[in-house]
Amino acid sequence: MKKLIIGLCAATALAVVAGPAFAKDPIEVAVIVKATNSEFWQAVLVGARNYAKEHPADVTVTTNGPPAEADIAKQVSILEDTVSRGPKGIVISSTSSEATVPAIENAMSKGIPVVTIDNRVKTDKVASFLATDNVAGGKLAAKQLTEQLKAMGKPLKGKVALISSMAGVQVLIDRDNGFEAGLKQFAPDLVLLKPRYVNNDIFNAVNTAQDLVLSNPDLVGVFADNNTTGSGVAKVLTETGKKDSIVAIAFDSDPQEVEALRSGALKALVVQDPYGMGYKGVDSIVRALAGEKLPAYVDTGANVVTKANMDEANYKNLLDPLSRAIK
Amino acid sequence: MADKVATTEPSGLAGIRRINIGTSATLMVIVVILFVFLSMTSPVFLTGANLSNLLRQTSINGIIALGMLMVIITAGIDLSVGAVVAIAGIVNALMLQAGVPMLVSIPLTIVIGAIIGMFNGFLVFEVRITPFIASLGTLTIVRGLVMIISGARMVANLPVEFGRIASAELLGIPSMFIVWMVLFVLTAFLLSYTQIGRNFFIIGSSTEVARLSGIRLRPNIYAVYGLCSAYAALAGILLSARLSMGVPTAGISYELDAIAAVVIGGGSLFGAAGSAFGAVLGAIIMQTIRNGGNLLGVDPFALEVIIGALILIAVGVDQIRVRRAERG
Amino acid sequence: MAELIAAHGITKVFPGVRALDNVDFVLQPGEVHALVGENGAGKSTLIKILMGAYRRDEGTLQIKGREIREFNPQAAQAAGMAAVYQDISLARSLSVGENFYLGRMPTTKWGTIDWTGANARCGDLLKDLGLDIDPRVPLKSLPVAKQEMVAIAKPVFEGADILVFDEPTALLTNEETEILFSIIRRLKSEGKGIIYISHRMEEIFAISDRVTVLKDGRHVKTLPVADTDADELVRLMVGRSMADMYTIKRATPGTTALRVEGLTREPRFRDINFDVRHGEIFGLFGLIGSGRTETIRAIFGADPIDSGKVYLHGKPTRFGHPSDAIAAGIGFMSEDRKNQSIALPLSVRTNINLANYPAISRFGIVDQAAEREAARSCIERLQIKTPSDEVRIRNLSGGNQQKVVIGKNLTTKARILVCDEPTIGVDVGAKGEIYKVFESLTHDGVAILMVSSYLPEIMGLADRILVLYEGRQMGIVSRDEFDEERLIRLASGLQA
Repeated sequence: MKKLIIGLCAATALAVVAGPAFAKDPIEVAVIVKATNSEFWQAVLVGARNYAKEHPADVTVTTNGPPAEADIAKQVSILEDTVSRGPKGIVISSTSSEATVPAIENAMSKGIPVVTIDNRVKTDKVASFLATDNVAGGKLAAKQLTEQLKAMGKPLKGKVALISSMAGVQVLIDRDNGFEAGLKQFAPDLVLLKPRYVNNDIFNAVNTAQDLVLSNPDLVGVFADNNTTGSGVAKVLTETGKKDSIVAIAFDSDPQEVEALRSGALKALVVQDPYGMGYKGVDSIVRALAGEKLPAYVDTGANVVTKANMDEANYKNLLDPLSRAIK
Repeated sequence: MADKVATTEPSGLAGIRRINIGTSATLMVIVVILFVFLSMTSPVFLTGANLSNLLRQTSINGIIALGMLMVIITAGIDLSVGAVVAIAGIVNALMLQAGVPMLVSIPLTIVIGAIIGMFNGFLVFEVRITPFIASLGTLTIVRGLVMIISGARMVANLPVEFGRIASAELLGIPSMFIVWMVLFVLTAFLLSYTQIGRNFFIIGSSTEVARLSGIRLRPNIYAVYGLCSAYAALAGILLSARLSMGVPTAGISYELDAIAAVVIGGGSLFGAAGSAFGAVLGAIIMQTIRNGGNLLGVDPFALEVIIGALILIAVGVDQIRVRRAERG
Repeated sequence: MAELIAAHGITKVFPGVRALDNVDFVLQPGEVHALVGENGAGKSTLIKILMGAYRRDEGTLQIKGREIREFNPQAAQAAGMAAVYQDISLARSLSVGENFYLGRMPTTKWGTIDWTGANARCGDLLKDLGLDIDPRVPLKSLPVAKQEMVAIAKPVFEGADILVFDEPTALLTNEETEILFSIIRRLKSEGKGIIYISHRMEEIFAISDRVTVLKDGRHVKTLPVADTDADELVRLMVGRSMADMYTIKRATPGTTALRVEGLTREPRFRDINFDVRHGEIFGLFGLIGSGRTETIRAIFGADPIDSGKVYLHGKPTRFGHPSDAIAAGIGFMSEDRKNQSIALPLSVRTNINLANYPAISRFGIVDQAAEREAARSCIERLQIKTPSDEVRIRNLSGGNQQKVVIGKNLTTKARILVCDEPTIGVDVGAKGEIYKVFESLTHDGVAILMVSSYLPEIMGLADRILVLYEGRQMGIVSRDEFDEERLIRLASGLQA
């Protein structure tokens, strides 16, 4: 008897939640990013908004996020507020792998599907997870580094520095681990220095790169695992005139990095597809609400952009996803 | 009849120089130890290139710390300096992009910084919000403003001459360091030789004593927070010159580094203590450890532990020294 | 029974000062032992050594018959010693009961705090001591005098058997002083030993058995109170008798310096009228709550007024801020020296110049030579005992601090000195010196408006006394009509 009542209640609740989906009102999807202050997350939002603009009758998108990526607590409270507001679905790139778990599980239990993007959250209770395989991306960076060295006719010997934006962030850990593994695989004689962390502060990244270049005359390569560190490294290599003797590979893309790629201060950028993440994230919600069974994990892919291919349309879109925004 | 026997421990102001000899001596010893250790362990530490890097790296925090010092002397605190660094960098960069000449944009940006500081002063004096909370509110507001006016984007493609402000050298000495030292001399002079410097110390001892001694609190409180933010704005301009762009996320948690430098340098959050020379040494010590850590490839997490421990040791040793003097 | 404290040949040297020189001090069980001496005589240093706060350089110390070598405040506490200082060192935000138990609240069998039991026990003791204080209220909600009583009751509650009272009555009313004395008598009957430090001769004769006189760090004499009198003690302490102290050479009052008409600030005081002439000491007398402090603060511009007029040399004036008053040649000494008159962490030099900087600065830059000179001449003129003018004022004795406050007003060349309890927390010797300064000031034509709640002082010094009762002016009594009983009647709201 009790079970029956609970079942009935649950069914009613579901019906209530699903109700408007049957009605022809557009469904509201809340998109929460790690930080509103970066090109990368803006690109995710552009992808999400473009989806809504392409399907104006079916979907509206609301966007939110803390101003800075370091602000884990604020993101958690934004998520909690969003859940209690009750949109039809949530797309989130969670800064922390743990802190958002209770709120995400709470949303799922309320019948709000949650699609996580970019960063894996430590719970199975998500509708789907869309991300770049960052380990593979890191490996790609290592491969690029060795190939560029070879192309310059340099022996695969000497030191490689790793400048990481921040410690303890899963995405960055994956990139760094992938890079380390890749380096071992492709160029076992290169020595990887201990990672330096810069708290996602570009001045700190510049200072650190400066110190590393100065104290390691046998430095042949640098890996910067996001746009902040990438821009910082590019600046130092340009200033010290070492951009032709040290191969720098960076993750992500922003105007400074693209400029550095063109000038040769950065030899390659490993870029994800944030636009695709946002676009596909919203799409996943729509399909989940339609009752479709989604794959647990979708790789949105990492791509290598070099000076050679940076002006091709595909890569141009990847480098500057913001330009794709539908007005 | 508390006949406490006077000890010979000298104090602030009467002899602003004398008091600092004790604290500064401790700090100088730490600096010397650091330099000797690093020059023995790293071949590049004592090279001109690294020293010039080190001075440039330290200047930003060093300048902010000088402003923070004055606020801390009045028993206040300014948590908004990091946000001011960001907004100054962005505002100045936007003006430069719009074609405003540097000679106009830079003073204007510093004035904007001072206005933000005076807003802190307004909150502290007129509304009677404790400085911690007042500047915390300002921090949040300014961070939000930065994002709004920059659209959360970096402002790049600045005139080349602007970047030269930070990269220039005079007789091999980085310009950023020169700016810092000029501010150091100004601050030291202000604190030791001027009426307003005296006022800051007296207000830091007790606002009621200051008032009954005929010191008007309003202009002094506005001035100290205005100066602090103006320094931070100048630091923000230099930082954006160093990076050749305005960065909306610049300066996050810089307030903590500045407070740490002041406190290592003998400042007290209870007010009425501290010196410009101490704050300069405090900033140098902190950045030297970071620089040395990078050069030696020290585990980055261990490095943070070392810096934290150093703050406590520097402050602790000083406390013990003062208490010894008082206990006899 | 063994002596509670037996200290012999105690010597303590600070850089430049021999604070204690071969001092003996013995405390018997069941004895109230008064410790008197001028400022700088070494009383506090001796207490700090006995309580383990300072290390002695030479001498032997026995506590309850046990030889003590290394001593510290914790060990002193463990040995049953407790000191009550003038400035209450309790947790003001906590309740009275919590302050009694500070850090070791009793717990129930569940491990939670036993509030009921704790408060009951504190309540019983307070009632037993004759104190009407609820142990549950936060300390800061009590008047200062009651807070002091809590501080006094705490060591009793803890069962300490060697108690030090350092100026315990400074903040107390007469009634509470009586309670304090009854507490002391009771402790005495239980065989406990009390060291009593006070500036007030009446108290020493009312409560103590023996008295030890210190002078300049030396032990002058220990004698039974019954065998001496106030005059002898003062002579032993300062080398002159008490009667001389309040006797100052009067100046001939000149023109009117300050006139006050209908001054009102509700609900503190209303319709106050008086005038002070150059060369005159004008007294303001009243009990706590009479509005005496508020009145002079308002005249100085420290607090606003509702109505009334202040005339300076016959011209109507209004001081919106103390700086206006200072600029007009008015000096001010607050009754709360540590919080209102001096900047504790700063040097003697700065403190002497506190109000002087506008005068010695040009274009905002301080004339350092003038600053040093002002400090030097003040230290010399007022004989302030300090190793140098760079010492923090916090390290000076109360009397010397107060001299710095006077110096601060001399430096600004104040022609009118408004002072509130100018000798509070100041020892006999320094008191006399302060009176001498007042004497010379009046001869220079300075007008002094002085609040004092200490009758012998105000009657000794003032030319006229205005008596306040609950913010109301009860009358102005001139010197030839001074009479203790009359003043007290007026101050209590009765017509004379």
